[in-house]
Amino acid sequence: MRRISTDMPNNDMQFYLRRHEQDLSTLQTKMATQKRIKELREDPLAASHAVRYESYLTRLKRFEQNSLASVDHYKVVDGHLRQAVDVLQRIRELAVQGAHGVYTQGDLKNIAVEVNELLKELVQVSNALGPDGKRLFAGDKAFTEPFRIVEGTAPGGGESMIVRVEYQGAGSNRRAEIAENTTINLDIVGGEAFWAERMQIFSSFDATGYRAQAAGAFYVDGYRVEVQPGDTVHAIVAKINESPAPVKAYVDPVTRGLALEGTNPHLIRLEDEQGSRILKDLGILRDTADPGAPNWHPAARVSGGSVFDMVIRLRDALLQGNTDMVGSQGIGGIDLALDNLESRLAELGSRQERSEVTWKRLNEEIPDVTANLARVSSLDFAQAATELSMLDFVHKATLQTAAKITPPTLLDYLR
Amino acid sequence: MQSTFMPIEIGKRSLVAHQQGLATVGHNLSNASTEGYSRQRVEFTPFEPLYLPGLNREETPGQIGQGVVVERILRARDELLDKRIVAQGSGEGYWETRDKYILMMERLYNEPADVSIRGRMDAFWDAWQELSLHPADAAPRKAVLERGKTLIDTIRERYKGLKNLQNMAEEDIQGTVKRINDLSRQIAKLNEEIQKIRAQGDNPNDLYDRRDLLVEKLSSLINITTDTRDPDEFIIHTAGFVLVQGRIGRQFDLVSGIDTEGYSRVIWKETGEEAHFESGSLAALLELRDKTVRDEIQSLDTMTMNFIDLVNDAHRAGYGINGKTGLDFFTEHPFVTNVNGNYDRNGDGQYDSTYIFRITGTNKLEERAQIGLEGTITLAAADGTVDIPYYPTDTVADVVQRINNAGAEVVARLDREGRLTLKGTPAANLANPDFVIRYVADSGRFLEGYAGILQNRGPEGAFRWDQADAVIALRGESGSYAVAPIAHPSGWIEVNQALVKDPFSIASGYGENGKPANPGNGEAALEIARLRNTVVMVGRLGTFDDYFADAVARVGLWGEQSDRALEIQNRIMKQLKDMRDSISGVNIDEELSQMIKYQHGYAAAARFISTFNEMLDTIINRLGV
Repeated sequence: MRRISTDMPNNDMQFYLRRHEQDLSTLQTKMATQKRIKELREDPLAASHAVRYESYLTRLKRFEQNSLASVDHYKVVDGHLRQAVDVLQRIRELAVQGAHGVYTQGDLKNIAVEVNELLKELVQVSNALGPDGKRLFAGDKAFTEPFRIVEGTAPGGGESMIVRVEYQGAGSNRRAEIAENTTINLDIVGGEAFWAERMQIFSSFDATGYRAQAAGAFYVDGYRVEVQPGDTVHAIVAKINESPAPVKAYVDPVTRGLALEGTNPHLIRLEDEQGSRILKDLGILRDTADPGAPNWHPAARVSGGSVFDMVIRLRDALLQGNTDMVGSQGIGGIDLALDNLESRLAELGSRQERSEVTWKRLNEEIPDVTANLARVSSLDFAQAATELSMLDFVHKATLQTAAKITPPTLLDYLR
Repeated sequence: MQSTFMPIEIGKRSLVAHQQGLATVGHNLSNASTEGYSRQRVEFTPFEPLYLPGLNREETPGQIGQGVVVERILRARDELLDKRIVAQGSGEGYWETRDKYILMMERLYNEPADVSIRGRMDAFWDAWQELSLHPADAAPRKAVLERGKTLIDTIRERYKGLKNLQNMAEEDIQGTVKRINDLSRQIAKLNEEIQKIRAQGDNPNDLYDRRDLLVEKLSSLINITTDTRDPDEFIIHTAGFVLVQGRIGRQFDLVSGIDTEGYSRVIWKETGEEAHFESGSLAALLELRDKTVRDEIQSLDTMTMNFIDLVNDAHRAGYGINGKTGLDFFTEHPFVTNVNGNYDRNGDGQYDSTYIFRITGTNKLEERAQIGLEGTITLAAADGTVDIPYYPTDTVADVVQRINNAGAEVVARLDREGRLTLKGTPAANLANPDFVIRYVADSGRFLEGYAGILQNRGPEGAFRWDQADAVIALRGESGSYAVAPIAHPSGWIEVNQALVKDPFSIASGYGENGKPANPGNGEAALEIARLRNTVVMVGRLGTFDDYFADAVARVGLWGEQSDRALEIQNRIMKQLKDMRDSISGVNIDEELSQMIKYQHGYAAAARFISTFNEMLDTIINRLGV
């Protein structure tokens, strides 16, 4: 352009000054908030990443909390189980003592009394409350005592002795999410921890001619097994064996009925789905709507007792002065109980270890994700400060030049 | 013999001409900073010399020049450059308006920060996680409730903000149309005046300047082209039609209707036809109102609707600490209270449509099972339908993914119990309602017997929304489909009042085998918390994470685009205007030197007159006695 009108330098300067001011203002706001992205438009893709990282970080922190909470929970349960082990050790000592032939009937009765007291202690441990006021060994029945004492007369003993301890709690249902789409089981329920022998249930119904009439289902230890119309007892046996429940099924060659055996010592919980009668028809369950255990069919043979059953058996043997029984089945039962407790402790320990490992991993992942987030959305202060001083300098230079923009016109030189 | 006083005439003419020149210089100097002013120049021409061929000519050698006269007063203006500026003006107007609104929309997001909807939703899911760990406690329930309410407030705020933007755009459109009408009238009036003045043979330079300024203002509002081939009739075209022709300035009108949600459309006043603008700030406002902001609202609605549906689905099956079950967490407001979704769309007293949002199949499906069936699913799309084939070797997950990627306005997923669920999405066409499934058909047996959605296959068994009781075509009972919600769920979403009154009714656990949940069971809470990062099909995106990231990127990219485009437009206009300024702007030094020139010319003419005056004096006063 060879011809410059009078207004143009001024207009030009205003155009660029406005832009400088805008840049200065934006940079100052960014420095005050320490964020690199003030408006989404400045870096849309980085903002999109930043948003994902932030959400992920929140989730990771929650997982960290959850894993710590689960570790704490395991520690508490661990403590109580060890207490139970201690009590059982003491009972075992007493049993060993009582197995000697040297003690009299009266002495054995005294030992029995002590065993009874220890039994009550054991029940108390199993009914323990956690630090949050919920029962530790009842599964998700948080306020129900897992083990219920039934008192009565014991042969050879006095009145109001514990004759039976029944499990009232639920299965292990409580879970916590400790990592993305990963949950761990929080529970070791009374029916698993405080059991001694493998349960065995034999139905007395002959099941060779059995055919399922309608579609239905039943629950074994909380796992659902579906039954299609026309399934024989062998199909049902196969389905039970395939399911993840720790139960083995087979057809007993003697009774030709369904037989179930636990693969580890625990209380097998069986239930028909609402509206179907499969286990009832097979003679395993009783025809009743009461969901509490035990619901076995009166004609079915059920064996395999809990820790308390073992201790009661020992105590009754002591009361009757049957040292043979004490030395063989009595101690044997306590040993089985101790074995199970030890293996449950190991299981608990490994779960705790898993939670701790997850926590460690999260502990490393969280700073990494935070670093990613910072890289994407935080301001590089050194760079920003340099830029600010540069912009400031340019702004000052523009203003100074602007002051000189009103050059003298011809008017100044005319007379 | 020539006239005695001819030289005085010459001198006088020169004086007048130079005076006019000075007057013009004065006019230029005074208007040096006036907007839209173009400098004017007098054009001197020699006056008609004597003698022209004729019978009354004097026998003397000619032609004798007769001095100077102002032929015309011109303004220095490049018409082609003006046309260029007018053509470019609409681009600048468009992006300026769009940038303003997009910036406001960006600010509504409050990202990346934790006061955004996403941040509040994270807190909401976190509260459910806490509840899943302590399902029998009261405190986590209150936290769930409070965070749910905060989240709802944030969603509603965003909805209100977006709706306000739409309303603002509507007001802007009305104001802009008024201004366009005004400008059109003014230009037409100016055309009339200019024509009158031109008829007298004059150059109405200042009126031309004024008209050019008005045209420039108009060009930033709508895209126009000017036609100056006929100097007596100035024509402006826009949107394919004539806007201003000479004295006639046509007007626009606004008309509103139901199919645009009560917003107005721009029509030509005389013909009633709708006007479609390509560029300019009016076009930007219409696009913002009817497309950009509407899409944002639809996207928010999709997220909200899915959110409500998913949380309610999981919550209904759960039990509260007080044993209550079957409660929704968020109140659902169905479009019609008719259980089958029947609705009378055209108001003639007969049911004629079915508004169903979600259809669930009756059969449980395995994700990885091979279906072993062949056929084509037909679903409603933005215009017409779209066909989705499936083959015997496909797995269920494959078919679901294909449905979701097909571009239909229906999305599919397997719900918590493995049943196939089809959900309607917002409609692209303004005439179709949001969140309504309009057409579902299957030529094979996948939707019929396998998934248990339709009763029959083929086009006879299709589910069509444009008839009453279309639910007869579905296999499931009334529990397996859900009526569509009232428009804009993000505006009315609220927590169920029953839960607000009694937080113990908030479900935390699932029961087993039809029994109520045990107090320590936190499965329902865990399931709701895990909705965060499971693929739940929020519209066409997989998880809520995907949705939020996509939303942020989308708005940010629009902002980036409009920022850059506006800067480009600004620079182009600056260059063009600088060039115009260079041609038409006043340079004070130039004017002052012109002034000196005319001053000298005037002085010379005066001197000439006084010299000749002295000469005449000799003849008149000293010749003879």
